[in-house]
Amino acid sequence: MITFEAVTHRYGAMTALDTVSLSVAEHELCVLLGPSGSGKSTLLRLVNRLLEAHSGRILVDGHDVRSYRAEVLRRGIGYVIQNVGLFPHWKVADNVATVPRLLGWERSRIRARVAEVLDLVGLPAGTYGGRYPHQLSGGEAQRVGVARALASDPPVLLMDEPFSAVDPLGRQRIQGEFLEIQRRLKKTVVFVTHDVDEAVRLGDRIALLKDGRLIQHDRTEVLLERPATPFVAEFLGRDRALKRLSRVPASALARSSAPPDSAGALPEATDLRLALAHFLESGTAVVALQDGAGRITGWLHREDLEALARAGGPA
Amino acid sequence: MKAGGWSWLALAGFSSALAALTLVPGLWPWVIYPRATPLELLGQHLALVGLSTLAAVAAGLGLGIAVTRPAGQSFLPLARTLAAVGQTFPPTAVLILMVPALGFGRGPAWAALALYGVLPVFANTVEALLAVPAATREAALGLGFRPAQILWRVELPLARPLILAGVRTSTVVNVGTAAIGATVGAGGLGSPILSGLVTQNNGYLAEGAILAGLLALTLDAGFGVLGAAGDVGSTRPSS
Repeated sequence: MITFEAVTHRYGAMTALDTVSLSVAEHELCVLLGPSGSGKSTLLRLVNRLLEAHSGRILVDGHDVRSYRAEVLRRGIGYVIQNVGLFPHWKVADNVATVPRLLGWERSRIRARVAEVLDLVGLPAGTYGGRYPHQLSGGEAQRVGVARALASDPPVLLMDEPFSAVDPLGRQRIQGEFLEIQRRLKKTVVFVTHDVDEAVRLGDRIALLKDGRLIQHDRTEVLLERPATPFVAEFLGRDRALKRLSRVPASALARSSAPPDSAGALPEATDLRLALAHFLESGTAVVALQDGAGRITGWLHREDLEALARAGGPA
Repeated sequence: MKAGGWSWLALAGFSSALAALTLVPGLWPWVIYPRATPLELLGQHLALVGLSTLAAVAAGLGLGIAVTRPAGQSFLPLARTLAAVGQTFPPTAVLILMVPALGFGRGPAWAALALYGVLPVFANTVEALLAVPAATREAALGLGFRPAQILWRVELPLARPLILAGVRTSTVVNVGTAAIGATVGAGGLGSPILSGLVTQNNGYLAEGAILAGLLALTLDAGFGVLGAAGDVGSTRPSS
């Protein structure tokens, strides 16, 4: 869906990207991760031609991005930035309607679509549509930013550290909500962040960049299990085993037979990192897993969890 | 009462006083300047201020936009310095300097007023456009606005209050400076003032001063009304 072919970009004498080749499959959320100055934002901004590559090609849906007029290309790609950049003189509904208006949609279609996407991000149009950006909290403004990017239903979404200005608690919430939206809409997303936890939580795949070079690009689980270089291992952190556990729901390891002694219960959607925390706190070896209705669906054994953590653990 | 309400009240009061004193010369309790009616003097004055301010706004706005575009950005520091230096010149000096260049009459007064009036409009336009948040501009670009659309739909609406304040300053200052225009033969409300000074006739002097003062207050209140109407919330995006 999005292909970078040997892309190089320079700022003056500084090489920001050095022959980066990378493919993002349709419906996949690919995180561009790396320290500041690694070139991740540059790579993202080449896709909608806010920057132009000095050499190499970028294909979106098989077409070179340079074959479009820049405005036409950008109207077909959703774009969310860190500081949101809502238009302060327009109401929320008008902000969300930006791209449909640029595309010349009919008024009634725009109104219906604005209501739909505002609902999608959890801000009912009736309550929020008439507000001005300065009347929103940081988290609400960022949701409006996401709604605005989704308004024309573009297949591709570019997100440049979209949640990093939101406070930690709000960030976790908005990440969860965004994951839900992504599960439903299945966009092709390129997501830039320097936050490893965010990358691990959201990314189907992670492309790790350093000094303008692509160091490793793999499924998130693979990256955590088998970091290709000491830099990757160091950047992901020494708690890689825990990060890996955080991506697996407890239900994945559930056994069906009842154990002799079981203490406590957890929702089956709990991730294994939280389940481990439960074991550490309670000192038990088994915990029951419940579905949303409180029915027991299986049992999680501490030894299974530990076995999983050891497999592919620190080399 | 909101700020806009007070502006309306001031506008109504000052403009009716101005209208009464120019349309009904009999209201003046003393002998007034005989060579032109108050209405004629006001007309000359308005023409002088109106035309020069119009030119000043067009030039100031155009230059301000030009030096904040990527192509004109290299002139930005120089232009800002010149504007700052220019505003330290007293308007009278600009007016007097015009005489050797353009001679006596309306021409030099008009040119001096236009030149001096450019500065506040230009300075405010530049500051207002530079104050548009980078994130807003970046989002506009990334969503697919063309550069001209960013200017018309995003930058200028956001810059409007500050630009309007510049136009206001420019206009009100020009009302006063135009009165000095009489010394170079430009006519207007400066004529009775000058005549009053020369012949020590306080009645003439007061006539010109009162009318010029009321005109300045009326225009200022008018901009107050415009400014209140331009608060965030009243502009709508066009499609």
